[in-house]
Amino acid sequence: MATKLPKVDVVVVGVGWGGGIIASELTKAGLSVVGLERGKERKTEDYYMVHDELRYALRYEMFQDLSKETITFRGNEKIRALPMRSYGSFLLGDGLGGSGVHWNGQTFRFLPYDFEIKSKTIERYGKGKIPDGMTIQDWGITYDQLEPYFLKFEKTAGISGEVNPLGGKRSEKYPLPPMKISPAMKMFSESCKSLNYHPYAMPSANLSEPYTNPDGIERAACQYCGFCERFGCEYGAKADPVVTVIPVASKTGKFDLRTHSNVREILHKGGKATGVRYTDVTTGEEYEQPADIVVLTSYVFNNTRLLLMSKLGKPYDPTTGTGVIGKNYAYQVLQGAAVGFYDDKQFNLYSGAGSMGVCIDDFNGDNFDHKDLKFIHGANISYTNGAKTHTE
Amino acid sequence: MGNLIRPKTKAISPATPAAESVNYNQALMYLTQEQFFIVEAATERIFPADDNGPGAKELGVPYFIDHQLAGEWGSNGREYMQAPFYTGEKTQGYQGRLKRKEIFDIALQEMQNFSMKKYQKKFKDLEVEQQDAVLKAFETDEVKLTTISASAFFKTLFGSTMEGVYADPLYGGNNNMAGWKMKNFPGNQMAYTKIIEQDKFEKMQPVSLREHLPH
Ligand SMILES: Cc1cc2nc3c(=O)[nH]c(=O)nc-3n(C[C@H](O)[C@H](O)[C@H](O)COP(=O)(O)OP(=O)(O)OC[C@H]3O[C@@H](n4cnc5c(N)ncnc54)[C@H](O)[C@@H]3O)c2cc1C
Ligand code: SF4
Repeated sequence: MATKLPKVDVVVVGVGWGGGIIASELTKAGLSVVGLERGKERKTEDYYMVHDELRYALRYEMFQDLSKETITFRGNEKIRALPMRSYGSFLLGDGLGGSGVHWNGQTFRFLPYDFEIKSKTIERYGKGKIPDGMTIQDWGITYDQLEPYFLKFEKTAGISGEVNPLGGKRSEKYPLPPMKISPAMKMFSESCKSLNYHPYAMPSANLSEPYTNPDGIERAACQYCGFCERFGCEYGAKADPVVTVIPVASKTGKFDLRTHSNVREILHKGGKATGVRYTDVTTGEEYEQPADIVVLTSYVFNNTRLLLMSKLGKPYDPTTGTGVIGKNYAYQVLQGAAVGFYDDKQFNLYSGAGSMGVCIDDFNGDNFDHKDLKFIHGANISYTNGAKTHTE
Repeated sequence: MGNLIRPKTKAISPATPAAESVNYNQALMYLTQEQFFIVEAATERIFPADDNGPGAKELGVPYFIDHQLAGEWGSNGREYMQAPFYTGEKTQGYQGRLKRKEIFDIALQEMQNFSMKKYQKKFKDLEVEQQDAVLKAFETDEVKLTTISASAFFKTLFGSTMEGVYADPLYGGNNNMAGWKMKNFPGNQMAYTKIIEQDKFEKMQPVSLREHLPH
């Protein structure tokens, strides 16, 4: 039998950026929040030996241990769904801070067009531009509505950057100046300018300077150590939930963080969530945590699975197009990589940072005419000085 | 912050020549002697010694692979290996039931068989051109195997050779950081703020993770 715990205002399932930000904002507003995280605790001191490419980048040290738990997947309904046995295209976060610990920290804002992609596409090109079966829709929220929250996040995380000349309007500049410019970035930038494109420094959660955020959190500047993506930052310079929002939540005294707590089911009554059932994975004991508000921030796969397993909400049915649970997973694709070799130049490419780079949005969103093109939207084109190490 | 700064260490003494120092780490944890000789010869062909510096053998790559096979990686310890098993689409990745070390067992035996059949010699005793031909036959799936994919094995062997050349020497390869030195890769430095903007290539003495512990 599960042990029933005293009710709290909020229970947060999964403590990465999503869970961490919500915990911090709600505890600051005076609510009592329980954070359930299935993985282990993390802290900056864990990364003393982090410059280990084999362990972190190639053996996936920080990601979900697939031997314990994985997802099944398939390209379409005609194929049998099979378990993801090893990592391939995408990586799943695990442990305190989730994927926010080993990310790069490239923190672009969405373009205004993205929020209203359907209506803006129809407005400019007519209904015929959107083929049957393409499930795009407006998000129900606009760039202008979200702008203050983009800014709030940028201040909390300490984003270093430069205004995107082709991006949405900003009410304020980035809180920190852009990161340093390497010779290769300079070359990319100059080439773009000579083609009349609009290069700008990639917005970065790797601090360009020491920074104190509005919550009073102080962090050191990025050292361009070159072990960023897939690694934790030994300086706390890379914004991650563990060095930004989680300590703020903890300081309120209102945040009860429980690691090694795997949520198995969302409890609900009359279509309304009333709490969760979880297992302490160190003992196998089961608990019920009732709450007025249940927040799912366990990343899209676990959120979807929990909703399906708990029979809450309407599952997406691809034949009728109805239902929302499990509809439209979108992942980033990085395509069309170009490599340059120089006989007369040698770059210090062992150095860099996860979101140190230059990019252009001239071919992104609807920043160019799609009238005669057989697609909509586009892509950001970038040069990233992320110091790809050797083996990959 | 203080405890994250690397403690001052004695000036790194010039690397002792490999021949003089005894490396007790160089013994086998998983492979048999016969298997080890195949791995040694094959990795040396994948990453041969040349004018640039040492090859896989001198770098310790065969021991690296042996130790990796004996550990979590060889047992697919962090991968989902439970039944049921079905043949999947290419896009669904590895769906087999064999662990890496079991795949190595089969593949190394097949390499030996193939060498014996074609050249009447063990793989390690072949001429280098013949060794290359055997590896090529695996790489291109010219060797048809029923239990495992020859080309997938080649890929793993190739990948783990590169790992052994360039991973931190703590894993038994990249002996004396010679893999890094050949590429002018400085290994594990704390900060690059001073050189990140500079045009000139900065050559540094590499540092390994060992220097992160007080000795
Ligand atoms: C290598 C890498 C690089 C990336 N780089 C960038 C980048 O540069 N810019 C960018 O914008 N994005 C980047 N991303 C993506 C970004 O990091 C993630 O989208 C983001 O961190 C997700 O945050 P989240 O809070 O939604 O989920 P997560 O960070 O995944 O957090 C979910 C948490 O929930 C926990 N959990 C899951 N199931 C349960 C359960 N049943 N019970 C309890 N806890 C559970 C997990 O353990 C995890 O800690 C990157 C991702 C990766 C993997
Ligand atoms: S590159 Fe900068 S932000 Fe990234 S891990 Fe290194 S010091 Fe931290």
